[in-house]
Amino acid sequence: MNFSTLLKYLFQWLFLFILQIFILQKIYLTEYCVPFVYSMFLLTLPVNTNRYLVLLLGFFTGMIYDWFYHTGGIHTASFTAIAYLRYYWLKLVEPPDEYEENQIPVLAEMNSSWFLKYTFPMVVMHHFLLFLIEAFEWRYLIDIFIRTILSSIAAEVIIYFIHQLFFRPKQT
Amino acid sequence: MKSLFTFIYRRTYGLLFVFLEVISFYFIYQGTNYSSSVLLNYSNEIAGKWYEQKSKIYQYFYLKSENEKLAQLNASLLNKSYFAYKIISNKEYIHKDTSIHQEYLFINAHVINSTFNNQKNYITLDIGKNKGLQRDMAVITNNGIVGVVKDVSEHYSTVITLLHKDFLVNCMIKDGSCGPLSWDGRSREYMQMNDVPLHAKIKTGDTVYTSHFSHIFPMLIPVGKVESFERKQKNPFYTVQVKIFTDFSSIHHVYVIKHIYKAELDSLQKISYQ
Repeated sequence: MNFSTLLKYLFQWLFLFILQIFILQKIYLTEYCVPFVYSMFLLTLPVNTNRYLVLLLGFFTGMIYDWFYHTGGIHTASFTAIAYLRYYWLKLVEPPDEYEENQIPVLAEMNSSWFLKYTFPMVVMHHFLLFLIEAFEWRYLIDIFIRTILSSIAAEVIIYFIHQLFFRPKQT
Repeated sequence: MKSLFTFIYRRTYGLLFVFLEVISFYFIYQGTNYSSSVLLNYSNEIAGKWYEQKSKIYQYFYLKSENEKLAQLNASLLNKSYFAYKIISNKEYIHKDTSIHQEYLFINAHVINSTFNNQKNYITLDIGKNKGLQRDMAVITNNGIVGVVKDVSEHYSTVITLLHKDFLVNCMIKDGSCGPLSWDGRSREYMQMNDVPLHAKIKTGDTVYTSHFSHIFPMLIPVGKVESFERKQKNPFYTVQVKIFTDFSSIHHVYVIKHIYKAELDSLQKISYQ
């Protein structure tokens, strides 16, 4: 990974942070639609990134979001789980013609059906874990399901549009 | 022993994951148990600085409505002031009342961050220990209650709002019947008041106030209005839906209430209630 890629990812992290804390935190549609889009950061890291690094990135990113949401460790716990699952999930959804060297799993380089198949379950998982750990009681299970479904659809739409707008195909 | 090391070596990824999860659940446990560790206070300062800058920008968008609210409060205070009264006696009047003394002190504060989308919602204030804030002080606005101070750092403090699953305040309906008010985590406009006795004369639209049982909030601060009430499954109590007055998406100025004799009250109760 060279310096310019590193800078790109740093910029993307900050962009998602500002989007989440400044804008999405202030938007209130219903209590059932609370999208969290910052999982996009982990999902777009190159496929062959060191998995330990991904795990630690997930942990520290979640911790910073927890500081700003005053939520103890909810974001840390759920985002670390996502970082852990990413490694296995990438193996599971690997297309038949395998990943290239330094493949970046973004919309511009893959087709959109693969992109949705890759990101949507992870986004759903992230929201489900987040809301489950937050409520921590089984009697809210139906509420948690509704919140998960609506929020992940909203988050997925936002992620898709960010990819459409900002990611250019690699020039060859 | 060797097989143990090979086991650990093979499973490093999983073990690191479990280790990080244990840490994060420790954070959750710590956060719910009112612990004010060094790390928590430190993060409070950092997040507080950031949110202060952010709210400086956001404040401009609310200037107009904020001014209106303050003007209304000014008017209501002017009505209570010396100028609003007509002097009907020629005698000099010195207001030196020995029959009352001040019990509560009101400290002005700005909200620099607020959340209302979670199950546990907080706001951050721009004052802290430097203005004498302590844990468990009440926070109100012009027209309703907001919450209770949780953690205090040097220049900032965080407040547990009404929209927090662990928040509980004793309230009183217009006819005098009391009960604890809490939030079920669903709509941010409604809270639930449990254990209201069946003989209470409740009407929809009655105002709900803080009661005299609360040692944190002063008595008779308006909280909300009765929206509906029902008796669940032959419980000997009503459950009352209360529509709260405070709109958490637009709070900017709040007042922190300091109970001047709280230490005395607490120590007395500690002795007698053992």
